[in-house]
Amino acid sequence: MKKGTWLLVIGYWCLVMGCSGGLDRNVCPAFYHWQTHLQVSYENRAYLDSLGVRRLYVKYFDVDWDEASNQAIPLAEVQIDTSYLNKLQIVPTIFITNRTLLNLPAGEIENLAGRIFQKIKDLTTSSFGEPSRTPLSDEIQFDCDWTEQTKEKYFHLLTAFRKLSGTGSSLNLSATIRLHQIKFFEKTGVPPVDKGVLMFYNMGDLDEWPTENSILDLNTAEQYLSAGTSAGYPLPLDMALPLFRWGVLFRDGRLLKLINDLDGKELGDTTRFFKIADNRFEVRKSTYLQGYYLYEGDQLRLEAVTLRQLEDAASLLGKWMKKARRGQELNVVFYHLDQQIPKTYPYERLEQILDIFK
Amino acid sequence: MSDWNKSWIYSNRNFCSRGLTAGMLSAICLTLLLLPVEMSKACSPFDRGFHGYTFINMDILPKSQQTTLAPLFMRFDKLYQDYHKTVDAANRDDNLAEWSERFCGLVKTDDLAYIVYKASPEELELLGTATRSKSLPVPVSLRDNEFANYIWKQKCTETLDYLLFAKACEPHVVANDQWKTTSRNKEAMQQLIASGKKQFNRTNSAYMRLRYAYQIIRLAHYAGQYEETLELYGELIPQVDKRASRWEQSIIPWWILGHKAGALRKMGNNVEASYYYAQIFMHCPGKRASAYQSFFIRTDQEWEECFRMCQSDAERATLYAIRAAGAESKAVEEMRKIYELDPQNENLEVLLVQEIRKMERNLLGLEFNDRKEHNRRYFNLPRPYTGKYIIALQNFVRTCREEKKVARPEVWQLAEGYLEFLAGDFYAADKTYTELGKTVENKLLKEQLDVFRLALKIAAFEKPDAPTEDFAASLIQNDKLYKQYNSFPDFLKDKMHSLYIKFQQNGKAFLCQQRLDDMKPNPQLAMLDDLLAVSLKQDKSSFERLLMQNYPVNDLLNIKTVMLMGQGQYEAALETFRRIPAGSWDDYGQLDPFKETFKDCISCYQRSDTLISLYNRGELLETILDLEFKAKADLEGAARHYYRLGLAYYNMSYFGYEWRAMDFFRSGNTWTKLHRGKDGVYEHWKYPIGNKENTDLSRALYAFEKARSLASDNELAAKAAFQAARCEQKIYFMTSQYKPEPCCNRIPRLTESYLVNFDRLKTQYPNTEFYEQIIQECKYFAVYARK
Repeated sequence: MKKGTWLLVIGYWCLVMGCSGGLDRNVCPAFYHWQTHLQVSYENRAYLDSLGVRRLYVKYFDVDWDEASNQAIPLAEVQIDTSYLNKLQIVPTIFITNRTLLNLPAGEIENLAGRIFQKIKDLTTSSFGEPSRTPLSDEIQFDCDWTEQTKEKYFHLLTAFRKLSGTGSSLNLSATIRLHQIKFFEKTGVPPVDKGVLMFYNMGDLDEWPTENSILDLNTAEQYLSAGTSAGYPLPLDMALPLFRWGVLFRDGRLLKLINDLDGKELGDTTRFFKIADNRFEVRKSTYLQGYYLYEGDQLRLEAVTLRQLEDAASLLGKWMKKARRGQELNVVFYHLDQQIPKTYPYERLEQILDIFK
Repeated sequence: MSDWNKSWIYSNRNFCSRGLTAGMLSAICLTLLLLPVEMSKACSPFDRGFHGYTFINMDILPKSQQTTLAPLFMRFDKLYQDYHKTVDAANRDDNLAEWSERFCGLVKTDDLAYIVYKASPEELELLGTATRSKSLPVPVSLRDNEFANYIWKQKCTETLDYLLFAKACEPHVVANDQWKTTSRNKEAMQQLIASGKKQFNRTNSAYMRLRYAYQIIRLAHYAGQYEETLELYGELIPQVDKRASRWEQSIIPWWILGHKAGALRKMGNNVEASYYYAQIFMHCPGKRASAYQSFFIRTDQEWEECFRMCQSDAERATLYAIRAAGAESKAVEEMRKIYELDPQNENLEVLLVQEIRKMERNLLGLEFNDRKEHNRRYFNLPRPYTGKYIIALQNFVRTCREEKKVARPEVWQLAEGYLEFLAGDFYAADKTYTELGKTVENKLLKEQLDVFRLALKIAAFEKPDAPTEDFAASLIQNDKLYKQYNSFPDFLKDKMHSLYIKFQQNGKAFLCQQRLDDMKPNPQLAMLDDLLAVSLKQDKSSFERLLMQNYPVNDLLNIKTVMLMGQGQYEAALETFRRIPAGSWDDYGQLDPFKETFKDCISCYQRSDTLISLYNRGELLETILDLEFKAKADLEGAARHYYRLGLAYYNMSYFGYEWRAMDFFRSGNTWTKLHRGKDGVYEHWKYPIGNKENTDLSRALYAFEKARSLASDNELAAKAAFQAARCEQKIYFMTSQYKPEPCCNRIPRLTESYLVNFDRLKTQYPNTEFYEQIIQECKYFAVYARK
C-alpha cells in the first residue's frame, strides 16, 4: 500500500473510532446487592429500569476462615427471589476475607477455587433453574482487600478459578481494587483478571472520631490519584460509587460498630440522644438502636454521601480517567441497592452523575 | 539463623564481589532452611498479644459458673475461645450423661456413646430382632457393649425403636457441608414426622415420648415448616407426662424450646423467641452459648415487651446478664439491675469477675508495665473511661458488701479490696484485706486473698534497698503462690526494673528484664559499671546474687573492653581488660586483624589454617597501642605501621572479617540501612537497646592516608590508596546521599567526592605492580579505571 493510502486509512480510522477523544464512553449503570436476601421490589425494579440498569452485582456469599474447623467456609449465602429480575444480568460476586488467605495453606488454593466455582454454579441453578434460563452475565467478580502478605495466594486463587471455566471460555473475571492498590500497584500487585472495579469509597480514617466522612473524602482520594491517570494502571477499570450511609459508634473514644442505614431521624429523640455537632450525637440514656445496646456516653457519627459529593467524585474520576475507555463500555456500579435508594437518590440525579463519566 | 550468618551474603554486595553463583545460592538457601530459627514468642516482630498481669483465680467462682458462664463473659480471654471450640462436645456429653442417668448409671458411657452416636441402623435392627426374640443372643458386634446387653436383657424395645427413629432423622438434621447447596428432602422429612408421631403415640415410656417429640419438632424446624413446628410443639408437648418423664431434670425440654424459639424468630416473633432463648440460657448450660448468640433485641420497646414476659425476677435478671455479656459492655449498669431484682443471682459474681478482669487489663501495674506502650497501641489500653468506671464499680461493690444480700458477701469484700488496689489506694486495700482476713474461711477465697496481698506488697515497693531485694529473692526462691500464679514473675521483675531505673541502677534494671547477652549488641557504659560494682560487692543482697549468678565479673570486663574498643578508646580498653587475670585472657577469643585483604568478605579469612599469628584481646590491644606509638615515633617505618593499623581498624570494623574484635553481634541486614543508623546504632526487633555496628571508618581512612602520604615505596602507597578508597565507599554508604540499588545485588555508584582515592590510584600509581593486580581482582575498579 502506498504512503498516501495509509494516511487515508489512518484518518478514516480516527474519524470512526474517535482516537482524538471525540467519542463518548458507553456508561452502563449497575448496582451492587450486598444483602443475604435478594428480593427486588416493584418500586426498585422501576427505579433500575428508569436509570437503565441492566446489570446487578449480587454478592453470592462470603468466604471466611473458620477457626473451629480450620478451613475456609462460605457464609451469608444469598437467597434469591427471582421476581422482578427478568432481563437483569446477574454478576455473581464473592467476598473473600483477607484472613482466609492468611490462614489458607498454599496447597489448598486450587481446592478452594473449585469449591467457590461449584458453589456459584449450584446457587445459580438452585435459584434460577436450568442454566439456559439463568440471566447470568459473562462476568464473575471477586472482592478482597488483599495485602502484600496475601497477594500471592489471592492471585493464585484467581488464576485457578479462571482455569476452571475452561479454555476459550467467555468468562470475564473482575476484581475490586482499593485506592491504595491503585497508587502502590507495583508493590501490592495487579490481580490476574480481565478488569478491575475501583471502589471509590471507604477512603477516610474510619477509626478516628474527628474524621468528617470516611465513606467519601475527596481530599484523601486526590492524594491517591494524584500520581497519574487510570491509564497508568495495568487493568481497564470500572468505577464503583457509594450510595450508602451508616452510623459509626464509638465507645470511650474507640470505634465499636457500624450501624448500617442509620439516619438522623431516630437520633432526633432528645430523651435518648443529644446532638453535639453536625452529624455527631451522644447517647443521653442507655438505649437500643437497631439491635445494638448503646450505653450512656457512647458517641455516634453519621456518615452519608450527598448527591453533590457524588458529582464531585464523578468529576474527579472523570479527570483521572482522561481518555481511557473512550468509545468503550464503562460500568459505573453503585453500592448498594436497598429499599431506601429510590427515595434518597432520585434516578434523574444519578443520570446526571453518570453523564459526567461520558 | 543468626544475623551474622546472613551477613556474609550481604557482604558480597561490596565492590570487589564477583556475584553469587547458582550453586552458592542453592547452598545459602539450604542453609537458611536448615538452620534453626530462634524467635522469642513474646518479643517476635509480629507480637500482637496483650501484655499484662492477672491475679484472679477463676476457681473462686462456683464450678458450674466456671465452665459455662465465665467463658461466655470473658471474651478477651483464651477461656472464651476454648469454650466455643468445645460446645458440640459438651452437648454430646450432656446427652450421654442424661442417657446414663436414665439407665441408673448401669452402663459405661463409651458403650452408650457407641449405640447413640456410632452404631449403624443395621446393627440396631439386629439388636432389636435379638431383643424381641426369645432365643437370639446379642449380635456379635455388640456382644461386649454393656448398653446393648442391658437393652437385650431388659427388653427395652421402645428405647431401640426410638434410637432407630433418631438414626433415620439424623441425615436430615445434621449440618450440611456448607460448600454444598443441597436442599433438604422435605418430603422425606414430612414422612418421618408422620411416622414419628405414630411411634410417639404407640410408645408408653414418657421419657421416650419426650425424645420423640424432640426429633419430630426438630425435623419440622429444619424442614422450614415453622408454623408446623409450633403446632407440633402445641400438640405433642402436652402429651408428655412431665412427672413420669422427669421433665424438670432433663435437658431435652430446653433443646425442644430452642426449636420453638427458632421457628418463632423465623416467623417474625422476635420478642417471644428472645424470651425463650433467655430461658434456655438460664436453665441449660450446654446450650448457653447458642442461646446467647440467638438472643436478639432490636429496640427499647422489644426489651420492655420481653421483660414483661418474664415470670420471675430471676428470669428478668437473666435478660440483664445476657446484655451484660456483650463484648464491649459496661456491665455495672446491668449488675445494678440484677442486684435489685435478684441479689443472689449466679451471674452476678461472674459479671463481677468479668469487670475486675477488665480493670486489671487497664490498670494493674500500669505504672511499671514495660509493655504499656504496646498495649496502648494495639488494645487502646488503658481506656479513657477507666477512671470513672472503676469508681462506679467500686461504689456498686461496696453496696453489695455492705447490704450483705448477695450470695457470698466475702467475695464482694475481696473484690472491694482488689478494686481499691487497682485504683491505686493501697492503704484502703490493705485495710480491707486485713478485715477480710479475720473472717474469711473458704480455702480458695483465703488463697485469693493471699495472692492479692502479695501483689499489693510488690506493687508497694518504694526503693530497691536490701530488705526489698531480699524479700523479692525469697519470693522467687521459696514462695508457693509466686510459683503458682503465672503473672507474679513478670509483675515482680517489671516492678523491680522500674525501681532500679528510678534509682539509676541501670544495669540491675536491665537484668530484671533481659539477659546480659541482650545488651552485648550495644553495651552501655552506665549499665556495665553498675553491674561491675554489684559483682565486686562483698555483701550482695540475695536478689543481686540471683541477678548476677550467671555473669562472672570477667565476662563483664570483657564486654566493657569490647565496648571501649568500639569507641576507639584502646588505652581504656586495655586497662579494663588487664583487670581480668592474665591466665584467663585466652578465654575471650583469638584474633588477628592485621591480614591484608582487598576483598570485602567477612567470612573468607577465618580459616584457621590461613592464620599465622593469633592474639588474645589483651595482646591485640597491646600490639595496636605499640603500633600507634611506633607510627608516630619511628619515622622510617611509619608508613608501614600506619598501613598495618589501617588494616586492623578496617578489619575490626563492621566491614571487616575480624569484626568480633569490637563487637558481639553483627547483623547482615544492616547493609540495607547503613545510612539510617544513629551513631552506628540500628533498631533490632530482638534487642531492646538496639544493635551498635562499628561502622566508623574515619580512623582507618586516616591511617591509610597517612600511610600513602608517608610511603616512599609506590607499591605501598598504591595499596594504601586502594584501602582508603574502600573506606571512602563505606563512608558514602552511611551518608544521606546513599540510596541502595533497587535490585539485583548491583554495586552502588559513588559520587565523585567519595572517589578521591580511586582517582589517586588511577592517576598517580598506574605503573605499579599492585595496580595491575587490583585491576584484575576488583572489577569495580577496573570499570572505573577504563572510564
